[in-house]
Amino acid sequence: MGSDKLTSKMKVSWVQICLLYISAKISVAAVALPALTAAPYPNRDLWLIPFLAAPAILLVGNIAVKLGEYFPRKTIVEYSKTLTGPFIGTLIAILYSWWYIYMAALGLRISSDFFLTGFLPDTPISVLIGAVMLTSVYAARRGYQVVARVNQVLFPVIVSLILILFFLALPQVRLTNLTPVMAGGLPHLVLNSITPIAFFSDIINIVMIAPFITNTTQTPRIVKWGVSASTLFLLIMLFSVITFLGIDVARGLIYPGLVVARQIDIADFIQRVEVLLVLIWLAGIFVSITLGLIWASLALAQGFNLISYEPMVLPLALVVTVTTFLLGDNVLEYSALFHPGFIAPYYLTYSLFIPLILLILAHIKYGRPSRPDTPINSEIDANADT
Amino acid sequence: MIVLLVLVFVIIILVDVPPLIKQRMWRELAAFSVLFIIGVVYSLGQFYHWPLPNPVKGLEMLFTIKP
Repeated sequence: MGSDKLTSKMKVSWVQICLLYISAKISVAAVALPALTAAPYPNRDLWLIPFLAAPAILLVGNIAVKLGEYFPRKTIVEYSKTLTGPFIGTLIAILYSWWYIYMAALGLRISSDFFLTGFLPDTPISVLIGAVMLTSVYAARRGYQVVARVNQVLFPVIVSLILILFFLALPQVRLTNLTPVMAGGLPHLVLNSITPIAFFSDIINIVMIAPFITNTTQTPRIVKWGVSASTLFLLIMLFSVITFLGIDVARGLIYPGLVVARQIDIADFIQRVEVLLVLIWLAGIFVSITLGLIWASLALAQGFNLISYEPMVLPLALVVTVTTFLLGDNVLEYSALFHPGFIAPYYLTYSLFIPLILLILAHIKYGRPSRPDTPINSEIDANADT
Repeated sequence: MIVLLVLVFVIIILVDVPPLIKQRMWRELAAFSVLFIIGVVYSLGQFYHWPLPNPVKGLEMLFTIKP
């Protein structure tokens, strides 16, 4: 995968990767909010989840950073081949490719059902899926740089819309909905945070995009800033939903964010602002599906030693589209996919188990990483050269 | 509906296959074909309700931990 044409259109900066991760994550957090809807013990302490989740996700992200120190210009598929041999390496490529297909399909399915139930009840689901798929395929065939730059335009929109929604909801927020704090107890809080940890642990996927970064010493910053910002937005969403609706109402809802947005009413003048949520979601789903398509096709292309990943994108889009229908017949059926008993073993196999084994193998084979890690000590330093 | 589906298949072939043949990228063509056939079989199966194995259900059986 070393041709100049490929690298020039794949080249991204660490800020761009960071923004890609944040927009992909906060759009799901804003609409589907699996942290709340999939919690096994929904209680009013849910808004504390990000404080537990952020350190765990940072640890997962640091595995990716450490792997990047051993192989700065290689993706996980390439170095799993050098570490475990061609057969297991190809197997890992197929496994990861499937994971990306699955995540893209899940995001696509949630978004389509969100549109269908909330806004376009008479439209066939295939129309929505087809429309989203076409834009994503077009972007995915043109490499990371296209989606990264589109996202640079979309990201301020997403963030400002979420903040607008948050501030519009503030007048109707009742802080008493949070008391008594920690009444549910620590064990329930830990169990509740399993799903968000597993869901956000796909920060590990920077192993697919970090090799194309302009300066590989900046990978730790992606993890640091990406994880902190996305968990901060998770905190904002959980906090506003729980204080706005109260946990007794919120725990029965499929789209709590949508209900909050629908009830925003400032002086009978600012009403029906849930359209903002649609914009957030559209932008986020475009980013996450495009990334999913690139990752899946890149993993396959590198796994089977192909020259370019582009011919894989269109048939993969077909496979993703089919997988959206295989996930389940309705919202209730595929929301079981967010149950901690399934999502934790499944996602953590990919985000923790396989990378950890690769890291141990790399350590046995090479000792300490040859390239010294450039220390990034102060926040000022991190901001200086952006 | 089935006409639309076949149209999508034809468009995918027209977009991807001629450049691959022209540049003699046979490995890419093989990988393309395998993925494309999986996609076609499963989308037709979705349309005609063929009893194909569902990988998502398989995953659920494989990974679910019963507490």
